Amino acid sequence: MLLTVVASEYVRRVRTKAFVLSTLLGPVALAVLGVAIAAIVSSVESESARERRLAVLDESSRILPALEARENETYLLQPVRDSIEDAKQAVVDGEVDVLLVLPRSLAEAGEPSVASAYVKDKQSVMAEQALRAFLVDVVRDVRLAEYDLPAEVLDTLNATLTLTTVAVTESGDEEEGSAASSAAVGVGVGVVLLMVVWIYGALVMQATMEEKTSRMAEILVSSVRPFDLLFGKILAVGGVAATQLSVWLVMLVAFGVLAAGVVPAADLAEMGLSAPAETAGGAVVWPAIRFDVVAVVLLMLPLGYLINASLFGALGAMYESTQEAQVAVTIAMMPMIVAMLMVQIVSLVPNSALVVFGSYFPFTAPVMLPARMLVADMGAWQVLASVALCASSALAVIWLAGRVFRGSLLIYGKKLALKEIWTILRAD
Amino acid sequence: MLEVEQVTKRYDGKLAVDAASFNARPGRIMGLLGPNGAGKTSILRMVNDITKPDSGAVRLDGRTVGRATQAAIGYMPEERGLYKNVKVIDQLIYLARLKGLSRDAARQSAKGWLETLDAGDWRDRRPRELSRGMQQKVQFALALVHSPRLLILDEPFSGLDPINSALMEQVIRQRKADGAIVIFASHRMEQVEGLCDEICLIANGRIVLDGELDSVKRRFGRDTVSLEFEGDGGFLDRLADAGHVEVLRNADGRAELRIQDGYSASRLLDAARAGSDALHQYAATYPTLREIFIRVVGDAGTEGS
Repeated sequence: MLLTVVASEYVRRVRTKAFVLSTLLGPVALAVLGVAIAAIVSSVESESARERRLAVLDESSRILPALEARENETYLLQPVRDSIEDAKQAVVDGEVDVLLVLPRSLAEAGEPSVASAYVKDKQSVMAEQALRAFLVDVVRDVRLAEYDLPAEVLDTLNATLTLTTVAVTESGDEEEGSAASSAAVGVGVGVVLLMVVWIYGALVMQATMEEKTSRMAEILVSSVRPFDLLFGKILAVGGVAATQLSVWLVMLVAFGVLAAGVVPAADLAEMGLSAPAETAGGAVVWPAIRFDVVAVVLLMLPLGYLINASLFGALGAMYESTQEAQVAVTIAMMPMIVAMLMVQIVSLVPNSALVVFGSYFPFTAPVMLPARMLVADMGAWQVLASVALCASSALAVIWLAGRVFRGSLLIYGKKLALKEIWTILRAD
Repeated sequence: MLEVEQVTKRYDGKLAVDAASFNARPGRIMGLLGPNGAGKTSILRMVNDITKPDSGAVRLDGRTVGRATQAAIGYMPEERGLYKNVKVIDQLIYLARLKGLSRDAARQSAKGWLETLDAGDWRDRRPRELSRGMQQKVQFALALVHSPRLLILDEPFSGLDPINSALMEQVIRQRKADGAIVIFASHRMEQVEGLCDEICLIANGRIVLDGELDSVKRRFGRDTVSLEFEGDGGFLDRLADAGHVEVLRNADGRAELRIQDGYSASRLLDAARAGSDALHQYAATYPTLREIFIRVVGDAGTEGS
């Protein structure tokens, strides 16, 4: 019976044009979006990379030579020989892009560092920052030059720092990985779960609402247990989700292989698509793949889906339109949103009461547990306890949702108050 | 046989069905008749095991209704529904599968019933492309698709044209001949009178009268007279004023009267001959179901009919 419901619901959904289109075009749309973003970024970059004519009014006459001494491809420097008004006119006329006015005090140590740039149109944030960066080092060097400092001191001042974090566990293992990257993985899992719940939870809600709006409910519950109907729908939509996600994964991998075959590795690295190991020297250090975390994610993702889909299923049975269900849906989404917010502090305070609670509380655990596992040293039994709690809560929520579903299916044209839902829950 | 025994059901403390008992037998059509809100649908839901009675029992062929009996019941609820975007044939197969048929049997049966109902051409159409009457036929097919032992039809003819009504009636009679138990719920009593073998009149959750249609009618006697005459019909008013008859209906030279105690059919015949320009028809008949219903529960009971 349950299988019949699952099969029918699954086939009906997978056969729709909407499913086929979204499955095939989803990655295409993402790719188009990615290309569009890359195009915008590169256009901004090329815009900022364009050689800009920079007129410099250097009152101290010490900074301009230092600027000129610097290698740069961006700025074509020219001293201002006329009055400042004429120089401004040159900006308005488009003869120069920027007029940089450097007051005498800028070269003096201990004086306020104020410089002005005059432009025709407002500059982009990036251009402004690039100009500031270009200027700031030079000004510092010019000011330091007054002190006649030894080369070692200058080196010390210019030292850069790379920090690697190594966690030492009780077993004596050492694990490289920064808190930032762990948090990133946690947020990533959270985003995926939230998306799955949002998209497919909404689909479950539609599916139960459909029974009411199509008035099929009565004929169906005279043939199948409401619980089987609800659970069948949840499983079928879960199957749809699994199908769609696997297709996307396959397409992603296929694209990766294809790209690796066609585009030389060096170009890939340039495009930022290279293997993480090659960028290990940079700021991001990826943690080694933790198979226990992967396993927990694979367990918690379906459990999180089940809990939330059941809630949505019950809501769908209680309301006859998405608009009516809006408020309730927002409330039902709260735990997930809270989990998304909380997952960002997991790496800051992995053992705080709030985070510990979040990693056990069934509605937040699917997101919080994997994130916390990455940064805190959780014992196996703690992980198991959280998973078990989540699994049993999923069963309880499904059971409750089944009762609400059964009780509300045959009530048309009226919204259910909390009191009525309570009556439904207690009814046999 | 379907046995409903002392069944009571309350919703929010309001009594919907009050100790109702009746039986429906194989090869018979039973009419569950009463105004809207009388409790018909509440009873049917308990027979379908959609809801459970607070007390009392419902048995089909000796077994208390439950998951097992659901497969033996075909139900056409008053609240009609179809999936708007699913092919007609797929909806029928889905329901037949839920009722326990194998995939092949479900497909065979679905096709067969659509042919029988003269709807074979719509097999691959979706309900949103069908007229209301067509949808109604698909609905009917949903109740029949697994050839159920007990066929329950709630207001089956509402919104159906005469040709399709006749077709549906024919199918119902065939199911009866095949030995199925047929239950029919309606508030349009005149519409189902010709079809029922047995009736069960229900008002305010209570069964007020039940039994074989003929014997129920006989119980009320041939005290109803229908007349066809020419003239102004003034004699009817005079008879009514004198308390000899009750005028049930009087329009366009056709009247239906009920003879009151102490008056007789032959005296009425004389009065009609004398009072009209010409008397074309005079017949003493049994009362209609609607008439019987009013007599039993009073006018208040027919509210909403």
